[in-house]
Amino acid sequence: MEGRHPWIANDNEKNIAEILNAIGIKDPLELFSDIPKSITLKKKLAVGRGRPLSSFEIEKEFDGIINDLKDFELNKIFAGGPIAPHYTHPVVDAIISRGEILTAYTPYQPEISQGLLQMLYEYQSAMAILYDVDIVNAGMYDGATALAEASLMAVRVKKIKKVMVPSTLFHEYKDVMKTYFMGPEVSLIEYETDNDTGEATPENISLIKSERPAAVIIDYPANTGEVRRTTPEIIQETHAAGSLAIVFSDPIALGVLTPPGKFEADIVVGEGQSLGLPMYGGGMTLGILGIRNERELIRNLPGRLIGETVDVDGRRGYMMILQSREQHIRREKATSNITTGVSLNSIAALVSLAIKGSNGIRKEGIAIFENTKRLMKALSNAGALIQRPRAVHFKNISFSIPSAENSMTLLENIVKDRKLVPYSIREEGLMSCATEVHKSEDISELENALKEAMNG
Amino acid sequence: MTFRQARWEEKLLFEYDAGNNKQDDEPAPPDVPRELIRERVSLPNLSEPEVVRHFTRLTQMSYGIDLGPVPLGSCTMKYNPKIAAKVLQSNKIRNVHPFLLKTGLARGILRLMFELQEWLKEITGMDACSLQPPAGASGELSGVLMIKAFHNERGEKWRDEMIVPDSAHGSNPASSAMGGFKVIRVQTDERGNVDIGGIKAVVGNRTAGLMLTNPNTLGLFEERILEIAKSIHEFGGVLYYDGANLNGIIGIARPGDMGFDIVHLNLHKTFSAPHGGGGPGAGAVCAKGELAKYLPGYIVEKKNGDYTLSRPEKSIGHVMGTMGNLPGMVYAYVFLLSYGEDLWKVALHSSLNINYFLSLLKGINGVSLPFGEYRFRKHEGVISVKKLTEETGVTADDLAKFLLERGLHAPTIYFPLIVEEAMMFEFTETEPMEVIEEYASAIKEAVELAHRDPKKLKELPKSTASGRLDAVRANHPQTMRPSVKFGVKDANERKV
Repeated sequence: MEGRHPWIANDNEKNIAEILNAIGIKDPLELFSDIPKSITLKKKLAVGRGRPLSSFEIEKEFDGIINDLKDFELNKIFAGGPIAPHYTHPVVDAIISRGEILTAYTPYQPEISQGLLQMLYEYQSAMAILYDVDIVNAGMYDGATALAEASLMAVRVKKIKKVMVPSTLFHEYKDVMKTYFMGPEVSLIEYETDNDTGEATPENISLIKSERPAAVIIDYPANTGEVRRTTPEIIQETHAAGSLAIVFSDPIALGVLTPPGKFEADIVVGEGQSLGLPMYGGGMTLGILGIRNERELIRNLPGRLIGETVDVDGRRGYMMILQSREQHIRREKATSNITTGVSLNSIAALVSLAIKGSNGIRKEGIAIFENTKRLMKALSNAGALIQRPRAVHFKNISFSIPSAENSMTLLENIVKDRKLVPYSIREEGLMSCATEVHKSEDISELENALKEAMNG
Repeated sequence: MTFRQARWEEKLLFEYDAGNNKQDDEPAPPDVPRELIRERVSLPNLSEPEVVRHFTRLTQMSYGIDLGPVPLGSCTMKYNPKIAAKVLQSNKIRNVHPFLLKTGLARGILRLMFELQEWLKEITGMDACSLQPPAGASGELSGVLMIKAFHNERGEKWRDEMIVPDSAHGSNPASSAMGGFKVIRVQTDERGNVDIGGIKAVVGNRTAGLMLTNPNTLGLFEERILEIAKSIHEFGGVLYYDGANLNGIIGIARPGDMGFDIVHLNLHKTFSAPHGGGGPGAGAVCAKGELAKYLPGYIVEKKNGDYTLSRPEKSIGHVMGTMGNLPGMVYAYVFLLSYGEDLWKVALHSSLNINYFLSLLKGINGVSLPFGEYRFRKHEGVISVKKLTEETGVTADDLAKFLLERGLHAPTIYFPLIVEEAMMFEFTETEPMEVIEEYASAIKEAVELAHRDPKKLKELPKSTASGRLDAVRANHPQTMRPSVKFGVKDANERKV
């Protein structure tokens, strides 16, 4: 056996010989003798660089990968969508890098996992406070799957295979919902809002009433940014139609906006990346899923849930609860197949929220409102055609540009000249966002960049 | 080993006050509709050091692979390489907006994803891989929906049955049900293989597919896999491989060569991405032949030295809003660079470890190895302490608590369901002999104590951050408390 692998303690002749002796065989390959000969690999696999690489060599490989990435400062990224540039506080990194939680398993053994369990309980509680609902689970994969699972919950509760979504919902979310709807054959119906104000119109309301779906999804603020004055009214009308109101809210807006629970949302959903998780190409996400305290909703809630209890000495403690909803117990009758969730990302969001506090989250919400207003002005000044221009926007703005030039070429030119990403190109149109990381100078630079590129 | 876990009397974040809990009266922006303005958010305003101390204390009351062994069967808790953690601190990787992946402005990431896809194809014997699934169960759902779309496309919509062995992971039947399939359960035979007679009895024109993990959850290789594959394929069914147990044969045999058509992998677990206390996971789903056209998400392709994204021709759609868990992919990439052609050592040492452990347990009174006792296990093994329970009243759960008392994380217990008083161990390749010996002697000691003074065992653990918890109180509708807010607000009685 040439060269020990640095991660395998027993990868040396002495240990291997001792183990073989204990189990009573000579050749380690005897362990695999029940695999039919015809399918046993005759050669080593061609993976990696063939030869095992050292730590130093692996780091060098990554130098190459990182060199192949453009260096964007966070505050020069204006690309909108479900994932956006937000500041990650160093305390978040410090806590989630700790091996006690980074390398832990799901806390099946609560006595040795109290810290992890308390953090998840605090996450659930912090989100329940932010959204003003009674219960939030320990986390879903991302906003898209959380919306899909919320919809399936409503379908089970109402026994109606129909869910309505606003046309302003991110296309990624609609796509994932459609995939999740394949199995139970649920149909997805879109409703429109006013082209100018972004508000609900009597036509959308009567559509909800005539369709009577299992649930209506209401984005508040809209995924395309509009803050609808008519949000409480849509929720009321949804209830009047006998449907559940699923409200999707960006949590970073809820320091300023009345929480969806106050408007009697039945289920609340969100994407927690905005609370201050790094973007990682969309690789670090958090699906927030909460409900009000209602028996049927609790029974149908997917995902892990932590609850408070006491130990044998009467000291407060925490453990996973209501596990009989879950796949490892209920199997094909489970509320979902979800197993591994996103615990570490839930904790990251909690730590970030703890750093912000109620003052911080309010200030950030206000900053985003103000920056979005500046962004709207900058885009208009540059000649962009804003969608639903009369609505107050939060974070995202959808628009088109009248320029003859292709929007991709335009973007590439701006990236090249200024190391700035002006927008993303999406099914909804072009989308820019403004968050707490942008300064007014950055937004002015975006305006100049667009003007220059469109006229030059 | 003496062990004592930290026991901070750490209050909840929401119970901190210290005079800094006051809310500033920040005026809301003037153009936001008044009726939509929130009055207050009831979160504490702590100083940064208070936050750091609170969470650091809580981490000290947690336990992960960096502290000690976590031999949970079917969970593959192995060492998570620090190189990946270091690489992931790069701002250039952190600041990649998902849109950039579609533009060629994040070429390095696309190259990493492309190479990873290629390596996973080589490891599984599949033709294409999608890295989108955010967890193993999501990979399973993808596979199930691919099977559904495949049959529907061929006009065979009547295929509504998914065959799943009774030893399968719970997520298999759950994913099948989410895909709209009826689950047909088949039993395990005495040798610990899925009962091939049972499969042949239920397979037919309504069979959509079979979901199988191999080695199975008993740690045993399905010896008649080729025959199983043939009997499913003969009836037009699809063979799905649950990759949760790949660690036991990685680099030794490939699902593709066994006849599997679709494979999901756990990049967390098998490919060394950390489990994070319950996620994020990272799953890949791979497929062969015609089925590859149904994969979810995007596939990275290489054309003339450049990397582009493509959608599989008949894709089932997306199973996540983004392209997948990039940090998880970075770990998998590091893992495969580190092993290269020595990847088979992972299967070798994980199998050596569990068989070494089982050899040390031989002769312990009340402990047995059900199903094919004479067979070698691959990566994991399941013992039963049923006899001990009958003799002393001490259960698998009690033994688990004894291990915790020693600072040794417990194995998976009461799974698979076909083994009574089950304890399912998986040490992976990274646990040293000494650790395995510690587990064996701890089990021996616990069994002795069970015969001598069973009551004492029931009082453990005491050295952990808490003693045994009151599960009835935690779960009872009258006493349940899933958040600090629960039951505090004026109860909203409206029924759904």
